[in-house]
Amino acid sequence: MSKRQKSHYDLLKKEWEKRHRDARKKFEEKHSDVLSKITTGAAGLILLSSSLNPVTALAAAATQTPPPVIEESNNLEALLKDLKTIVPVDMRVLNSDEEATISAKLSKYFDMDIKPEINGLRLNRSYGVIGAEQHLTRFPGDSMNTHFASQTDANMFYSSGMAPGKGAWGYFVNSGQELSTIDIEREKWYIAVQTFAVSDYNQRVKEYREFFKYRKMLVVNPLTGQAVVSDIADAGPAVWTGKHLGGSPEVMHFLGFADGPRKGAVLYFFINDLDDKIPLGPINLK
Amino acid sequence: MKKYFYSSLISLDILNTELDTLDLSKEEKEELLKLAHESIHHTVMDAILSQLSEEDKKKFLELLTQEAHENVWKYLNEKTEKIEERIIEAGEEIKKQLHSDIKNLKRR
Repeated sequence: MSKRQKSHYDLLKKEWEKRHRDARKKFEEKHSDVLSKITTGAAGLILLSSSLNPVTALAAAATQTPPPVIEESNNLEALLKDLKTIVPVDMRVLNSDEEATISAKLSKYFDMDIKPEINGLRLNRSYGVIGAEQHLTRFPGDSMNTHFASQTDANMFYSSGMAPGKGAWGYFVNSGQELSTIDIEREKWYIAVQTFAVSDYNQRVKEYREFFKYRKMLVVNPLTGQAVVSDIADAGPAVWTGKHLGGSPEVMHFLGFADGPRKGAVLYFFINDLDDKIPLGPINLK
Repeated sequence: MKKYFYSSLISLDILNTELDTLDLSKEEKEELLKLAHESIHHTVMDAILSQLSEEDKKKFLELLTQEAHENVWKYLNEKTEKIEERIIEAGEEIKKQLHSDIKNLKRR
């Protein structure tokens, strides 16, 4: 690519991103009162503090079962303030002190046991750039026509399409008849992480595979506080992409990355959910 | 790009053509067009919601989720006056700014 090409794109992108920010800000300022009444909990949060297309967010808010309401918005402010002081501005691997501090904060705010590693097993990083993934095939013959439980979901997430291959653990089930709620949820809220980039992965393949398979992780957008309880169901993205993990269309939506470049910085830590009590999906602050 | 109920009122053909005169890869052009669509979308939504009462906004948004464009238009025409003109005006205003950015870029 020539310097001239890069220059045109960069300059115009900068201008248009500013215009978009201004248009969005104006929209949110003028209509936040009614929008916040329509939406509650995470959906309201998405609408008011993210880059998400307002209509898409409203569609989600108006047609989905509202998640629990965030009763104390002060918690969000406090979380964001805390994260701002701890999470580095530049995208880099967190050191162990930072990981410990952040996991303690997330444990407190989300009222669950959050850890950068469990039993000495961990990922290559816990702060990275998440990019948009496609839907995964849950069983042989699963297609875009069989994938969605409601028309609303189809309207919102059909366009992401389906990945050509299976997830890292193969099909979720062997047939459509075997598909249970947990399988549906696991695909819906899945993330892909760079399992292969863990330093001692090759020496402990079996142990790591068992550990990573559908392991729950808390993924948090540190700029907005939007968070999703996700599960690991795929490996990727490739290191050369510059991204460090991938999110299902639903995960990206609820993290506030459904629009624009469809990627952004997130914190991602393991949830030590020994009794398997914490449900997958968007989560509010406690 | 996603089609909205107002898409037929706001053409991006000229903007599209102007982008073709710049040195952009296909992906870069697509990303810029997406940004343009998003700015237009927020601007148009603002123009529409500004014409509706709180209660009407809720109903309007419910209709939007159903993506039944005819019903959306029917409702807006019942609740507002000259809504098509307002949408076109809002769209033209933001498009003017986007065109101006391209012009300025060419002058550099």
